[in-house]
Amino acid sequence: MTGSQDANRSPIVRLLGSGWLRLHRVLRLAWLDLAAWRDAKGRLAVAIGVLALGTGMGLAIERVNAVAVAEFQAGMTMLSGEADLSVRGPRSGFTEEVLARLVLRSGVAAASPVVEGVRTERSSGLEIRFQGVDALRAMAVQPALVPAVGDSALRLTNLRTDVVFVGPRLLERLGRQVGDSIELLDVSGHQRALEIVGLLPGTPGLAGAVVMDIATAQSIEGLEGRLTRVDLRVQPGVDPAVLRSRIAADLPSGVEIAAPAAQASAEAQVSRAYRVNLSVLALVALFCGALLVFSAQALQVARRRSQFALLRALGLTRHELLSLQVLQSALVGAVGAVLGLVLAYALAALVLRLMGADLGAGFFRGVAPEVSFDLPASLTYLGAGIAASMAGALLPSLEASRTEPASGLRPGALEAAWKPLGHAWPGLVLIALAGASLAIPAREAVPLGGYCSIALMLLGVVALTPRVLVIFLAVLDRPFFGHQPSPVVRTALAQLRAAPAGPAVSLAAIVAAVSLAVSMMLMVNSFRVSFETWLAHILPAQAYVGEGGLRLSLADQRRIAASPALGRVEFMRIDEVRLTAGRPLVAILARDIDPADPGARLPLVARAPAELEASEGLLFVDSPVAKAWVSESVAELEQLSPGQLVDLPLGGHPVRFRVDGVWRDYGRQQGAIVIARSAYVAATGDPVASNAALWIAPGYSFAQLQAALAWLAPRASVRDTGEIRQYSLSIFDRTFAVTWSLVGVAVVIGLAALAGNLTALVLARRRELSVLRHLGFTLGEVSRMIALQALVIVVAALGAGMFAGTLIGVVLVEVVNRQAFHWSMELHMPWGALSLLALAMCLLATMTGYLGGRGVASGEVVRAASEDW
Amino acid sequence: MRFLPNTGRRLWLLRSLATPLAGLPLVLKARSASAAEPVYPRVIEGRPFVFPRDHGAHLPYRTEWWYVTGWIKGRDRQPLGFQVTFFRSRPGVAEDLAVASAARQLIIAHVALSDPRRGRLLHEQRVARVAFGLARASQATLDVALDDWSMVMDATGSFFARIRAREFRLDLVFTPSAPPMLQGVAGFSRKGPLASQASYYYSLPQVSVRGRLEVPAPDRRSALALLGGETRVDTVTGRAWFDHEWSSQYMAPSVVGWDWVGINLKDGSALMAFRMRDAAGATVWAGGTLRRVDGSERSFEPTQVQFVALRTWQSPRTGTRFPVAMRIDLPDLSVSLEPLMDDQELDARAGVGAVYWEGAVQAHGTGGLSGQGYLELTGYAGRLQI
Repeated sequence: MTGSQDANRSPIVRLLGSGWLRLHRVLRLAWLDLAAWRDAKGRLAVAIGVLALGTGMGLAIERVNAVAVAEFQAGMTMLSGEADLSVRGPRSGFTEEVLARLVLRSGVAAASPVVEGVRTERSSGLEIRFQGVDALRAMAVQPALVPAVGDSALRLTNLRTDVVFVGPRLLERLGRQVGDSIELLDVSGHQRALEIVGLLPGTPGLAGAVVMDIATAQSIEGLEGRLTRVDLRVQPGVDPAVLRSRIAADLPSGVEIAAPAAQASAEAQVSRAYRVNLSVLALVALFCGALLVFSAQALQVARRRSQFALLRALGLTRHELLSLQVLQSALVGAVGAVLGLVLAYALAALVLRLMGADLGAGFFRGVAPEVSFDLPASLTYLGAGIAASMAGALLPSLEASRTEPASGLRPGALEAAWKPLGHAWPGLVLIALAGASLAIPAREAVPLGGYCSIALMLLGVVALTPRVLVIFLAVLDRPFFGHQPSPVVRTALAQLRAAPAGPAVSLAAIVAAVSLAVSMMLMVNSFRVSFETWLAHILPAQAYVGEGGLRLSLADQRRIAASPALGRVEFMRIDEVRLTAGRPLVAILARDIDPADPGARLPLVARAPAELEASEGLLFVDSPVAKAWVSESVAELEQLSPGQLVDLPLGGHPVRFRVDGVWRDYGRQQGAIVIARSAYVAATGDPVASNAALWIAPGYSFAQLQAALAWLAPRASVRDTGEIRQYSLSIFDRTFAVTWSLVGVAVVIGLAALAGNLTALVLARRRELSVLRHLGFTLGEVSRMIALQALVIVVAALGAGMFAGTLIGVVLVEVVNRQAFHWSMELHMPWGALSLLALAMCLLATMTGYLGGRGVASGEVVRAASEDW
Repeated sequence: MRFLPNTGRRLWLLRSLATPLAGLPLVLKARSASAAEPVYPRVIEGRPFVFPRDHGAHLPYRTEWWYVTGWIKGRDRQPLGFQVTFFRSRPGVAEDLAVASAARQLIIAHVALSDPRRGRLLHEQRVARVAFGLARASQATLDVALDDWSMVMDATGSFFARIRAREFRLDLVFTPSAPPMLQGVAGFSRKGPLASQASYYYSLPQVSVRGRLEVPAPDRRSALALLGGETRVDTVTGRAWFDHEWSSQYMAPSVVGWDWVGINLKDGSALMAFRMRDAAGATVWAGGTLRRVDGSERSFEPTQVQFVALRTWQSPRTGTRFPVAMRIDLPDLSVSLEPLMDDQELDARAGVGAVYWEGAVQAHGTGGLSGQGYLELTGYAGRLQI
């Protein structure tokens, strides 16, 4: 009986026991074996650094995005308090009558009117988003916005028009205390000092908020008699959804009603494409790290074949050898990832401070979150860093463990082992798949197909690299213009041809890095050139006046126009309206524009045919439909094309326009629609302008124009177009700072991989080199030979990388940007930067090769030749 | 214990508008609240009353209220008491900003229903700024509103109150039977030892009431009633007392509360009496007016009005002891007051921070007089605190 029990149990026990034993052995071996990396300290450091960078950037971007979105959404929902529904209007709001109707509607338990605004605080320069509330009505819906001041009996303070309540975090950021003031510029150009009389709760969404009386907000924003939001509490027993649809039917055009949380996520959705794009870029850095580990590990495996064979011969099993290698790479990954975590939080804090919550893209204006530690996210990126390292090491380690001890101990076995990599088909299949995946449509503005395609393309090119090298070598193996190459050249090429596997493996990381750098350079360069062209088109005048919330009355406009220093002036009114419920606001640019020649002011990409206009004119003489020019994002989001009719909610009523053209707008991702100002005034009866384009009269200077309009000074300054252009470009560059830093990372990876791998190659070939020396090659000849080999390798890498990079760049420009941001742009190759990159890589390669070859060939001739294998 | 002036009708008497009547959550920090402290007009003797203009609001004054109390009966002939009040306050904030929605004027409204079968008050209170077309106080005639609560007078002098409270709905039409009864000296009503402690004050006694009351059946839980269905719609008739009073002045600082009563007597005469009490319960100031059946009126001096507690009732909720049954001794007349029900306490500490008693009372006087009216007892739950 006992025997059978033992028999039942013992295999498991034995298995467990042996498993533990084995693991223990492998762990110890892995530790001891780490010493082998001593030779490869440089490569190891680079691999760890890049892994840290990839993990760090990824996590930093994730954190910044997460806190920004959380703060933004919390702001929207917390500021609505206990509201079940929220009625939101355009930036210019809706009339107070809407509130009256809502309050008196059955099913509504309480309604709290709000006027929202954004202003730059004077002395701190901070952008401040504020909420104007009626304390008496807010108490039933958003009690948190009505803090008791001091003694609770003194709530009347909340009704004062010269005070604000500030969230504790914002207060700290402003460096002020209760009792101090903030200063905001109102629409009529007066600085309004508002005393900070109390604190809002320090909860998410409120910690960075500013609350004032609704009348104060109305007067600062110039919205007397208007509201931008009404938060509603529904009576118990009433279905919010039913009430919502009943109210929706009764709201003015362009005003929507939804649950605050739904609205918050819809608003946050706008920035999703941008955020995903950043995350993908960060993952790319991680991918590069994995490739570097792959390269380093592959070379390590190549170099240590005989050692591994020896270990196998000494009794280490295939699995143990594999575990050994993978464990080591996991350790490398862990070191890199932990460094990355530290880097991530430092980077995130820095980014939030320097660039703001949206990394400079302008999505979350007035939102000032703080970095918070998040365990799941940190663990995810830690895991990703380790996984990347392990994945990079897996292939070479598998190969190392698969080799039979006997063959591994023989020199030259490497080539046979890497033979499968020389096949072209895996790479070709991957590239074909990359092309096919472009057909995958974007989901919620996230260009899945584009990202898939880029990833597949990268993998494909990396897989094809050995084949490319082989073909390249074959091409080189021809007489140059009838000249027979010198023996050095022939030997160099022959050696590469005979054993291309090593170089090919080391190429992978270089090719990937080059293609990423090239693709991003191409994308950013295309965007920047297009942006500059666009700026020139969109800013035709010599000077502009109009900043945050400026209002130019008819009298102001007449006074400006009467200035003798002014040759010509065009006014513009900026409004924001909601075209579709659940979508963010779209800008309405009502400008003085010639309907017959919109192209003079707008960078049109499509225009309705002229015949249509003519026939329309004949058909509808009595009711001509005004023209509208929609930006590309409006055209795509609202499915509008030239010739179609569109109803714009102006002044609370739908007003019909005909889409006459589509124009390129890099300024407002949510979309913009240009209409003639006369049409806007006719629809709204509001002649106020918010912006003026100024042309200097002949014989006058900019300074004279400035002097002539000095009376505007307290409200707005006259700004030179050049200055605006400079400023816009600096904002552009700031937005792409993250992208540029990734380009930088890719280039550094490429160069580091190049230098490291060439050195490794030279080391791996020292025996062959010493044989050559014995055969009579001079030191210089050997060095030149190695340099030439390095050059050949790098040219192949550059060729493949640039080719793939250009393709990826085109995907970024034509697919990713279009789908994610609805931006079109022309392709502009960054020739200068590319040549510089190529030159730097060739030089570095040649030098590394030459110096490395010299070092190896001079000192170690005898020892290397006599090495006993 | 805080006692906010907006809750009880003559609370203003106490601090009147000095600390503004200040709405619920809000009581003004006396002067420091706003840089531009407004200049409030003084109440002076000899100001002529012109109607209907004086039925309307007097916006420059610090505080003002329109107050209707009365007894009504439904089809079942069971008596009910009701109270509908609109306060207006100019708290002295937001005076410097020329935006229509600025909170320069506040409306505070209060309704209560006394039903002996329910045994406690149904009441609700609201406050809003005069803005958004939702809260208003016309200067032309009686026309005040707060959301879906309103009190409006028409050209004939009749007025209606329309109240949509959470627990009940009132639609009452009031028809005055006689011209306004100007209190004090031709509407100049002294409230304290100083001449500045005064208000403009007139009443409309013996106002006949007709209307509609929608209220949950008293034996039902209000939660059920809230879900609808369990409400009872009743046609009601009765008699009411209307007060309109406005002022800007402080009351004597020694005052902790007051007693007030307004009675429609069966024979058609009407009586108003009040006294201001100090912490010891002594009368600081008192006054009253008797309008006889023939329309002649008699005003009483402070020394001629005595309030004597006959019976007290202690609130099981707040522990406050109120003299719910009282005798008022006047020259040649003595009137005993017995409440419609004992528990007509308004515990509004959560909302407005005050506990007081305001209720329907049955009156029996010497010489076989009898009538029905409303008694207000403030300051019994503790000293007022500003």
